Parts: sequence; structure tokens; C-alpha cells
Amino acid sequence: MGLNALDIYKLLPKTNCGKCGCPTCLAFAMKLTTKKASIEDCPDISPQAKASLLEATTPPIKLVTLGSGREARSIGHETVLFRHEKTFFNPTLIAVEIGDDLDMQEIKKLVNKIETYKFERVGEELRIEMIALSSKRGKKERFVETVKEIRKISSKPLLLIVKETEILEAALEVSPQNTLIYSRDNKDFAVLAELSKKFASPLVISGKSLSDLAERSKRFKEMGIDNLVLEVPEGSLKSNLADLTQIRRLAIKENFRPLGFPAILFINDQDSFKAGIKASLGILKYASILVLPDLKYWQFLSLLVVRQNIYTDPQKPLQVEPGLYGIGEPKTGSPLIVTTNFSLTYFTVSGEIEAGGMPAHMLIVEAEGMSVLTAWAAGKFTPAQIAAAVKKYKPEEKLGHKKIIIPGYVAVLSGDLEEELPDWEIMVGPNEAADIPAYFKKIWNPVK
Amino acid sequence: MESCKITFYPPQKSVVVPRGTTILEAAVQAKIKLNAPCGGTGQCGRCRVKIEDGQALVQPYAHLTSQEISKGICLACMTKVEGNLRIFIPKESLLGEVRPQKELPKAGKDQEKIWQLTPLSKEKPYGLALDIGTTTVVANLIRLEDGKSLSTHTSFNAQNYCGSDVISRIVYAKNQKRQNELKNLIIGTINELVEQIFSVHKIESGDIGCISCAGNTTMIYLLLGKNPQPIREDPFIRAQFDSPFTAKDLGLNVFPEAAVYLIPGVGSFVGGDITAGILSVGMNKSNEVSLYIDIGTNGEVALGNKDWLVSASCSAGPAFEGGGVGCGQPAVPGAIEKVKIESKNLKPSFQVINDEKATGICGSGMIDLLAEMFRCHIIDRIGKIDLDLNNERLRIGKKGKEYVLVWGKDTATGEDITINEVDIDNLVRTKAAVFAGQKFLLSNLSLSFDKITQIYIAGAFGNYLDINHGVAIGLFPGLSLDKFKFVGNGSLAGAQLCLLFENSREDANRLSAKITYLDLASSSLFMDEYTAALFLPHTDLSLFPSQKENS
Amino acid sequence: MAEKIELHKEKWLKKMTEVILGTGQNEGGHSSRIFKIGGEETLPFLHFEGKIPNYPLVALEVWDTPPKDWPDALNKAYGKTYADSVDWGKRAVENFGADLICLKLMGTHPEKENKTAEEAASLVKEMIETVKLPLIIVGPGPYEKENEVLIKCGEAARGEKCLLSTAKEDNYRSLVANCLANGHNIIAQSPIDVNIAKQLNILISELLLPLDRIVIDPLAGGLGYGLEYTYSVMERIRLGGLMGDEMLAMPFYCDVGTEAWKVKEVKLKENEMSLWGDEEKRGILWEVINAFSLLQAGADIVVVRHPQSVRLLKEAIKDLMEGKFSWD
Repeated sequence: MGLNALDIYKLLPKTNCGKCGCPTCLAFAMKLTTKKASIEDCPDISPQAKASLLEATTPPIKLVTLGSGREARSIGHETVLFRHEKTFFNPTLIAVEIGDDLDMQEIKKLVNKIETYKFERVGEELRIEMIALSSKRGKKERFVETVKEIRKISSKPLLLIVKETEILEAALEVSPQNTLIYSRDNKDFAVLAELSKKFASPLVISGKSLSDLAERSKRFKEMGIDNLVLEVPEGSLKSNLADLTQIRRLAIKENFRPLGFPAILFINDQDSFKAGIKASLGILKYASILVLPDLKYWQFLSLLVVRQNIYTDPQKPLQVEPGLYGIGEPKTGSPLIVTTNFSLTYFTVSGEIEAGGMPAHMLIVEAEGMSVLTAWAAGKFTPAQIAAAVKKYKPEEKLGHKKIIIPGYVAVLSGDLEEELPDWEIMVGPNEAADIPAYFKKIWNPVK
Repeated sequence: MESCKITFYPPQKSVVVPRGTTILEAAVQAKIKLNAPCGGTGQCGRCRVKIEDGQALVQPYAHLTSQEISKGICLACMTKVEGNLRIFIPKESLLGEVRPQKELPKAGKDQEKIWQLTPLSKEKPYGLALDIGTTTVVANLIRLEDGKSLSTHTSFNAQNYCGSDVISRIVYAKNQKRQNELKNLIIGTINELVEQIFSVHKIESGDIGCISCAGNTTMIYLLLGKNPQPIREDPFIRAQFDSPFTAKDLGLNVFPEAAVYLIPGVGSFVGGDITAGILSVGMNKSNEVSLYIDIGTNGEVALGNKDWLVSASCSAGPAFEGGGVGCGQPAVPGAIEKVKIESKNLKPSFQVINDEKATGICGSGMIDLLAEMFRCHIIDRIGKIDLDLNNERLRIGKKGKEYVLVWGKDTATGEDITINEVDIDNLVRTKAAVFAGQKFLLSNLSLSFDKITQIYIAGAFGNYLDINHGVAIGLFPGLSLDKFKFVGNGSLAGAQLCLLFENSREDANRLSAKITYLDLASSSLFMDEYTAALFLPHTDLSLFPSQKENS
Repeated sequence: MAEKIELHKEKWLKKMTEVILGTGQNEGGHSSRIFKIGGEETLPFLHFEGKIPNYPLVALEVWDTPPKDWPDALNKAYGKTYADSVDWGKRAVENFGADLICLKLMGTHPEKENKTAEEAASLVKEMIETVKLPLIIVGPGPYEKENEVLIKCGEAARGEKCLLSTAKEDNYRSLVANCLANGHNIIAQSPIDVNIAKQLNILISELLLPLDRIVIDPLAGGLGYGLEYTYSVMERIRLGGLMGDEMLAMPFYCDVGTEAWKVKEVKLKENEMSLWGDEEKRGILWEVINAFSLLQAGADIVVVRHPQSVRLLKEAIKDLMEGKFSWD
């Protein structure tokens, strides 16, 4: 949103009526800036104010939806150049390209492979979102049949890569809603526009340069088509980066509508390593769709994970994964400290342990990335949660004892924690991480 | 001269009064309505006038800057006439439109009251303004007839042993039994103060007919014996109570039917004490944007003007009230309240409350000490002590590196009074939380410090707070000094206003609903600001232009 | 012909500081090559709005003791190299094409072999004389031993303009003094935090180490394990520098290999997790993408472990630094 909270507040009724769910109009204005509320939530806003707000907040990059049903995905609606400014909203979609000249059995196998390729990582399911089918021989029946076969196995959104209008149209007849069209060498724009309208299909436009792309997009706009995706001109990493950056910048910083569309990057490198590198550039730098020539498991893992990382909402605090960590190679008999999963807490405490020279275990409890005091104050670092972590990660197996040290600031928890963990000894550590080495020397060492 | 002729203008009016009368009283006699919402107690600074000619006994007061005093500006309520005077009244010092009263005052000696007193209850001659703090409780006896503040009594909140901060106290109050225990403790503390008042003023319990009470949300919940657990949970509710209460309901030893007004709070961790503070400085009536900082155990900040207000609690911690710092204490007799260090030999000079032998150091003293240690390069920007300075006062003590402020031979206990790196770390974290809270509020509204016209600082510091030092360590922003006003106990001032004026009570009710409560705990923006503030004075030195060179 | 659109070019206020590594033979040092890092006038690789005078550098890790639990992919690539650190260093540069060597003195760790500072210093001397390049020298970790070891190594490499690691907010004085006395550059590490990075640079510069001898280590997050935190912190720092903050305008150093090779996504074999494919290729690409991402965020030096990663990264860097734009 270009407007800040106070600007928005000035446009609101300022009655603090609470109908929007916020206690004051200013609180609502603040939520609007972080997109945690919608202007629609205010029933009393004046039509003029609503119109100005909507205008100021229309994202500069068009939202394009691909596919339908549960597999539908949207791209676009990005508002920032750097994820730390807010977040990147719609993750890059990855498509695997299949040529219709392969044996149908091969094709089916490949589609199955794409379909079954998914696994969970850090609470999210990672998978491939699209299937791209390219017409290699210019044979209409073959192409149409392949589309049908694919649809029997998968309902993922499709990207049709085909030059001839006739083949394209026939394929669209049997394709799902919102199928993406790529007909690069087809100069019959009017026909493409018709097809796009008729089938409500988003269309990829290509050009040798950004100026070409802008020109083309204007032409399609004149024909009433604005469901577009821009193909990044082929080139080196230097060229791709420049183009992707310019497209995003011109859209966001200058509201340049002809380039206000999501971008697609086709990766043709035969060398899978190089292809992987280029794909990662696309993910990091603003590409909305990546099309890769095949599905190589060892290559895809890195891509899916880097995508997961970059598209994580940075508003969430820095967290480490909960679990049992060994600092400085602890052995049996080493002490165990429990604390929260706020990264800075983890680093500070582990740093002090390392600096002190006495190895120890750290049990990190899920506390939504809050520091010890904050988490405790918010009820996110409670005896019940600590006990649950102990039961889950079973530190006693590595410790050889059942003593747990809690941060001094939450000494008040010790009584209740004893009840939760009756066969454990609860020790109260120092308030400050800086005092941990001294604590270990004086209090831990003698007790073994 | 026994009689003094006082000439006011505009409009041109003269009056003759005995020497020693305050200018405010003289104005009353001249039928000039000066703005004095605090009842002429020097709390609000609204009755500013300028002495053009003549003699008066001007008392310096926190609301006046030295620049103003040099120009002859003074507070009418605090200035006594010494001779003939010619006085200019600025427009803003005159009372505005008078609101029609609901009840006509009883015919008394002074028919014309310039401040329409509308106390909570008129049944009895006295009222009580209470500030129920987490650490200390203050009771102020007010004579309702003329709104005069008679005396103030302070006591430690007996609940202290159940947790020095709000969260620990909430955690302690986990069941009915504990809630009753805490309730009895606070009632006990208040009743003790009331006892003191009775004996000092030789009045009876039945003479106090109304009470106005400012306290943070948790304190009020505990006062009422309510379970405070919901305070910690989302949504961060505003404390609203099924008023009205009577003293009998609460167990307070005053007139049983005495009306008790609990100033409503804003949200879980910003309570009626802040509503009261905001009210007392009048920032909700100003066009300009002001900042209000209450440096107590919780460290609340508020920002805004008459159009909008936001507030947050920084959970700063009790360091400035002595908590967690080795030789730290509240501002009581024996506490060092002012410190200076000579850079050449690191020799300190200091002032102790009541001039007794030092027992420890209080908030204002700690701010001075930190600033001076930094200025003398005893500590670096992250608060680490440099032993390489080779001075007998710098050594490694029981808890690590420390600076000796007072040698044992000069202290009341015979023990050295020292400050070590852990203490300094605690203080830096506390000041960082308070500063980060200010920045957080500003960032949420896309404002910067230069958009602030006035900064009010409230806190139980006692008499003294060196704003310069506060800026030097990065507790306060690097703005020019004339923008700062130390208001002392803003919560109590607000409680007084609510006791005496219906307008104020109505304002308080409106304010508490209007102020937007912001929660810092879950904000990564706050964490970022907090880390930035863990540096002396701050990672972003451009916020402190006058502090640039410290080498 | 299409109407030419006007590119959006940002107006940055400051050039990044350039740091020099290595002292030539004609100046009393041993380096056959002098390196410059930093000096960028714009965001990473956006040549259209500013000069990018220096190529980012790729360094290979070399230890002073054979690593005990490196994965097969690495052991296979190195063979018996680990046994002789100097030979390892030589191969890293001559056979595997690394720009620099990152010498990690793990053997001096007090809980491990506890090699002496003298032994480390002797190795440093021999390494520089053999490979004829400035070194990145990394201490073992625990402060007391590290300070001791780095002092001796700093002396042994005096005048060579090496990069010494690690200065942290609570342990920087010794290393600053070392760099001042022996003419080296310092790696200032902060735990993925913009403010702490800046604070450390302020503290270091107030001890009079010139700004062009400081390199920022933002604590590289591993791919899948916090990469995005480092990425965003680096972007924020770089933007701060470009917008004029001299305390944020230093080059970046990212130690990628350590993080990349310890994760399960790299350690699990294909037969344990078929959906992840061939583990050797997987590991290499994992490390490469980890490093490549950080290059996009401004890394001026990346430290990796696999020789193939060096080749792939250097080729990618070339492809980012050379060639035409689509509008040329």
C-alpha cells in the first residue's frame, strides 16, 4: 500500500464503532497497511474515500490465475522489490515441459512422476504446480490426445506450447479453465486474442526486448486482453536479471502498466546444473513461472527449498527449529538448558556456552520465535510446553541424567514444571546468558 | 509594601491584593478566568503569564524552561506577588468557553470559581487521588471545596513480594486464594496510607467522600479481586469495570458510601494510569503531536494529538526503580539521585536524597551514572567496562568488571556501592525497550521524531531527572531540550483531575476508548528497534546529532 | 519498431568500500595476485545503473587437520588430499580453480587436537609461500585460544593483507589490534542482524581500523535453514550502504560450505530418500544454489567445499558479469 496508516485513517469515519472488528479506526487503518484487513470490512466508509483507497491500493502487477479447482494457482499482485519491505506474495510456479513426440507410455509415466512428486518440509507441502506440453511435430490429433491423457492423470494447470492456431484451438477445447497459452512464433495476434477471450486463457507474450514486450502488451490491451504473462527475453544470467528487475521496477515504481504483468522464464540449458542455477535466479528475482525441461529429483530439491525460503513471510520473527541441539560436542553428563526458539536467544545462549568452553545440550521449545520473557509473558513458554518438548525430543537418552536448567527469569515456572515432569530435577539457571559459564563452573560441575 | 497593585492585560484590569498572594488568586479577584485545570497546584503549566514590570517571587517549575523564565514567564498559581506588577496574559492561558454545569455550586464564600469544580462526590469535604503503581502506591488528599492538594503519601505496594513486575504478579494470581491474597495486600497498603493521612491531618475516615484511582490494568484487576489471566491473552482487552464502586465494596477505610472512580485503561498493558497521564498533560486537546513516556516498571509510551492517539507498553523492567541492579533502589532517602564523574581521574561526585549516607542508587542517579561513565570512556557503546584505563575504581569484582561509585567507608552499610557489566547490561536493555517503544509508535504511523512538538516524561524519579543524560544514553531522542517536559507523577495528576472535574472523567472515559493499543510483544519491527537501541546512544547515530563525537 | 522504453535506474548515494587482499612480491609480500572486493556502485549485478568493478570471489575451505565426518561426495572429490594441508591448498587453487583459500584452523580447538598457535602460524607461513595468495584465516572458536592463535598467525603473515576471522561484538578488540599491527583485514561477524552488524563496525572503527579493512560476515544461513534471513539482512545492509551509510558499505563474506553440507537434505542417500535423487549431484547443486543466492544478495566472497561448486559458481559469476543486455 502506498498510503500509510495516518493517511488511511483520515479517510475513515473515525467513530471507533468497532464494526470492522478493531477497537479503533486507527487500529483498522494499521491493519489495512499490513493487508490484514480489507476496506470492505468498514460498513460506514464514504464512497469517495473507498474509491481513493482502492485506487491507491490496486497492485501494479496483474493477478493472473492458472488452472481451476484445488490445483488453481495465482501469480502477480506483487508490491515490493525486496522481500523485507513486506513479503513476496505469490510463489514462483514451477512447470515441467513434456514434448508430445514422446511415446504415450513415456508421457504417462512422466505425468505420473510429476503428479506424485511431493513431500513435506517444515509444515509445507512442496510440489510442482504446472505441466507444460509442447507440440513438437505440428500434429493436431497427437497434441489433443496428449492433453486428454494428461488430464486423466493430473488436474494441474497446463501450459500449452504450440505455434499453429488450429492446433491450439483444438487443444483449448479439451483443456481445463485458465490454461496458459504460449504461441511464440505465431504473429496472428488478433486470433490469439480471440482464443484468449473465448477460452478465458491467459496468454504469454514474447519479444526480443522489453520495449518489444511493452509494445505487444499495449496491442493486446487495445484488443481487450489483459490476462497476460511476459516472457523474459532469452539471454545470459546478466540479461535475465536485468530484464526481470526492470519489469518489476517499472511496474511497481512507475506504475508502468504495459509491463505490469507476471513474468515467465523458460530454462533451456542442457547442463542441469546450469539450468538449476538459472532457475534459482528466477525464483530469487521476480519470475512468476519457471519452465524446466525435465524433472530431475536431485535438481528440484534445491529449487523447491530455495523457493520455500524466499517466499516465507519475513514478518515472522527469526526462529530456529525446535529440537535438541548439542553445543560444543556434549557427552553424557553434560548439562541441559531449555530456552525458546527465538534465533537471537539461541545464538546468545549457544554463544555463551561455547565461549565458556563447557559443552552442553540445548532444548529449544517452539515459542513462535519469541524471546524468553516475551514468550513467557504471552503464555507461549509454559511448563506444559516445556514438558511436551522433553517428551518429544527425549533428551535423557543423550544426557545420562534427568536434570534440566530453566532460564533464571522464569524461575517462577519451576514449581509447575516439577509437576509436569515428576522424575526430572528442575534447576534454575542464571538470569543472564552471560552468567552461564560461571553457573556451569560453580553449580553444574560439582553436581554430576 | 503591604498592598500591591496588579495590572493585567489584555483586557486591561487592575486589582489590589496583599503581598504574598499568588498571581492566580489576584486574577480571580480581578475576575479574569485563567486556565488552571489542575486546581492551581502547579501540575499542568496552563496558567502561564508574563511579568512585564515589577517584583514577584517566582518559583522555578518543571513546566517552565529556563528560556521562558529568563523572559519573565511564570506560572500564575505558583508565583507570589511582592510589589506592584504589570502582567501580560497570553491568550492560551485564559479559560475557554465554560461548559454549563449540571449542578450549581452551593452558595459559599467565593461565588466565582474560575475552575468549575465538579468533584466525584460533594457529600464529604475531602477526596483522595490514588496512583496504584506496580512498585509504589501514592495517595493524595484533596480538599474538595477548593481543589487544594493537602499532602501526598507514598508507600511500597505490599504485593511486591508476589512478583516485581506485572507478568509475575499475574502468574502468581493463578487461583482464587491467591487473588484474594493480592487484593488484601493492596487494600492494606492503601488503608495504611489513609491512616497516615488521618493522623497527619487530624481528620476522620468518614471525611473522605470520594476516591479517584489511576492504576495499570493488572493493578486494578487485583484491587477488585478479579482473575487477571485474561489480560495476557489476545485480544488485549481494555479494562472496563462495572462501576460505580463504593469504598465499602472495595474494603477501603473511608466513608463507606464514598464513590470510587477507576480511571479506565486502554488495553492489557496500558492502563488507567496512562489515560490519567495523557489527560493531565492535555495532549489529547492539542493540535500538535506529542509523546508521553512513563518510565515506571512497565515503561509505557503514548503518541498523538486531539485527532488520534496510540499507546504501547514496553515491558521495560524495573531497572529504573532499582530492580535487577545490584545497588539499585527506588527514590527514597539514602538513594544517590545525581552523579557526576571527573573524566581525568574518574572521581565521582554525587547527591543523596535527604543528604544521608548513601545506601544505593535510584533511577535518576543511574541515568546520570551511565551517561557519565560513557562520557568518560569507562564503558564503550555496548556497555563493556574498559579496565585498561587503569584506575583504582575499575576492578574485577564478584560479578565481573565493575566501577566503584562509593567506597564502603562512605556508605551507610559499609559495603562499596558499585556498578558492574551485568547491571549496565540490564540498564541498557531497559532504556533500549523504552526508546524502541517510542520508535515503534512513530514507525507505525510513518512519523519521525522531528514531527513531535512536545515530549512529556513521567516517572517516580523523585525530584530530579537530567534530560541531557537521558538523551546521551539514548533513553530519550536527540531533540532540543525545550521540547522536553518532566511532569513527575502524571498518573497522579490525572487522578486529581478526575477527582475534581466531571469534564476530566468524561474525557477519561472517551480517551480510553479512543486510544489505539498496540502490542509490542509479537512485533518483529519492535525487536528490530530494540536491537538497534542496544547501543549507546543508538546504532543510528543520526538520531542523536549532538552526541556524534564521543571519542 | 517498438518505442524504446526508459529503464528505471536508481540513484544511489554511495559506492561500496573496496577492500584489498594480498601484497605483491614487489611490495614485500608473496602474492602473485592482488584482489579487490567491493566497490559496487549499485545492487548486485545491475550493471545498467552503476559500475561493478570487481568479480565476487570463490574460496575453497582447507583445514589444518583432516576433517573427520565430511560426506562421501566431498571425500570422493578430494581423495587423500586432506592429509597434507599445504598440498590441499595448492590443489584447491591450481587444480580446482579457487580464487582464494579459506584456512580453517580447526586443529587448534582446545577440545580437539589443541594444536598450538605456533603450529598454526607455521602452517600459515608455509601456505602463503606455496600458493602465493593472501589467505582467509579462521580461528577455532573459543575466544581465548582463538585470540592467541590468530595473533601468532597474524604475525606470521604480517604485511600480506589477509582476512582474519572472527570478530564479534563481545570479542573484537584482540583481532582489531592484530589487524592494525600486522596489516590485515578483519571479518566482522554478527548473528543475522543489521543493527548488530552496524554496531560492530562502529566499535571496530572507533578503535581506528580503517573502514576499508572491514568485511561483514552476516552469518550465512543454510539453504532451507535460515537462508532467507541472511538474504534479507544482506539486502538491507547493502541498501543502507548504497543510501549513504558508511558503516554498512563494506563487502560481504559468506561461509557457505559449513552450513550446506551438514543438512539432511544433503546427507541422506538416494536409497534412503528416492524422491531426492542422486546425492552427489544433489549436494553440489545444494551448495551452489546456497552460495548463488547469497551472491544475489551481495556476497563478495563465498566459501565452499566442493571443487565442482567452484567451477559452477565461477561460470555463473562470469555469466552475471559479462555479455549483453536484451536491449543492446
